[in-house]
Amino acid sequence: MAEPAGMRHQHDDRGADAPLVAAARRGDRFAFGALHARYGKMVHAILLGRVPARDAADLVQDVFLRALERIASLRDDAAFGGWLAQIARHRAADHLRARRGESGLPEDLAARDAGTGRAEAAQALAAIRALPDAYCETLLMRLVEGMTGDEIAARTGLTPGSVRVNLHRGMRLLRERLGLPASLADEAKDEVEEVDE
Amino acid sequence: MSDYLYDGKGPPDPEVARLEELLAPMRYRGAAPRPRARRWPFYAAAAATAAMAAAAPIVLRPRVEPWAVEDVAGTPTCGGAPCRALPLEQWLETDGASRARLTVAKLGRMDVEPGTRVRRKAAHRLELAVGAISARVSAPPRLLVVDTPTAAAVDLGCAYRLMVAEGGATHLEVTWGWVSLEAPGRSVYVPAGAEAWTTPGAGPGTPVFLDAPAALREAVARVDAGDAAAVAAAVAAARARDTLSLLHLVPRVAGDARVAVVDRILALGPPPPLPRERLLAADAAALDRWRETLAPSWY
Repeated sequence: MAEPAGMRHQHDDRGADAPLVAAARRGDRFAFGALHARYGKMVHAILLGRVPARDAADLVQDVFLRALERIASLRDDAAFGGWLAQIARHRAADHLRARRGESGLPEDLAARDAGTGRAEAAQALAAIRALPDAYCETLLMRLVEGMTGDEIAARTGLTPGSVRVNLHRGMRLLRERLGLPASLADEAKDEVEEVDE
Repeated sequence: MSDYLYDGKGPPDPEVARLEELLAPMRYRGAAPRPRARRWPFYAAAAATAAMAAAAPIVLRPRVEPWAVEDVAGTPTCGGAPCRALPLEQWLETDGASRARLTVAKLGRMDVEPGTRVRRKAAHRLELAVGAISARVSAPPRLLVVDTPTAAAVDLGCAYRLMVAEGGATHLEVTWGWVSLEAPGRSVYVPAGAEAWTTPGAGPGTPVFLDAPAALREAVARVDAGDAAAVAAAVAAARARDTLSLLHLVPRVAGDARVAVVDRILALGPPPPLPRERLLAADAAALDRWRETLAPSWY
């Protein structure tokens, strides 16, 4: 299986948030609020791929607070998105470690409602979470958060081409796992991107 | 070549569109409160959860710093006893003669008025069940949230007073900065000098400035209650500053009433950032941009 397209290609627009980051570092809390507005969906998608849905929204606040505490240590303002994504991944891991031993997490209780939209949503989320991280995160940003491919690229630092590859390869795997019909579009986009790469 | 999966444009892929529809309820909506879970159907699962939790030898929880509690008057209690700190999940209560001050590390402080029940439900999230708090927040916007029975008050860098009456109706008055009142399906922005009510079942009402003409306040309240005919009175009574209220009415009304509201804002406010047709469509992105243009006239 092809490897997910990772963070190896930096998106050309990644410096667009640098002035906001610099202002936030100087203590401009409205600049930090603007960063929250821009990156909240990305952070939520990363968390949703790892922790129960009911915890993800609260953890978004924690992630931004950690970012605020550590922003002085960020060396490259243009790398804010990737840096923030790492904080979110670590926060999710801390959360899961801390909750080890607890039970009854699931939105997956929805499985009780077999055949309903809730149960289907829980099944789809579980299948997406089982994908490689790069596919999982990118698909959640697109399918849950409603971000466009260009928006995902701008926030994560991936190139638009890498985002497209992640979306189509991830969707192809997801179709297989959910037993959905294959799409020619996934195959075609995949091949186009492989040639482009 | 169009690629629906990439940018949502072009002919929808049926499976992708179905997944979007299924997963949309999980979308991040800022700090909007989650719908309350139905409890009865999950009793069996809850019992199983409790049994497993009891069997677990150690339950680790994230490290969360306590919030300092200071007695300002009387004897406020946490979990029924006098306290100096408010841990997670605990209720802080003041009786009719008590006042307390909560100091929230790195975030600010909250004065808890008499007759209040407030719970710390997450690291930076409170639940105000009844009573009133006055907050002065020094944290960046959106990091401190107070849930009420009808909406979430999201700090956008500000000072405010939030009151919850018996029965759940909530009143917000902002004294500095901004607060966003958020509920599923509707959010309102309340700047300094303005107030808003939320009522059970109806979500956040239209914000109005404290010095707004009585005729405007009355008309807005009627529109919020479902009387679209009151729009004309609101439009007639509005001053330049009251474009705050009119802007929030735009998505609440339709047809000729919406046209009247949009045209009145255009007459009272600075040049808009988008064509009139986009403003009449009242999509959230267009209204956000328009709000940014109008906001300087609200101070």
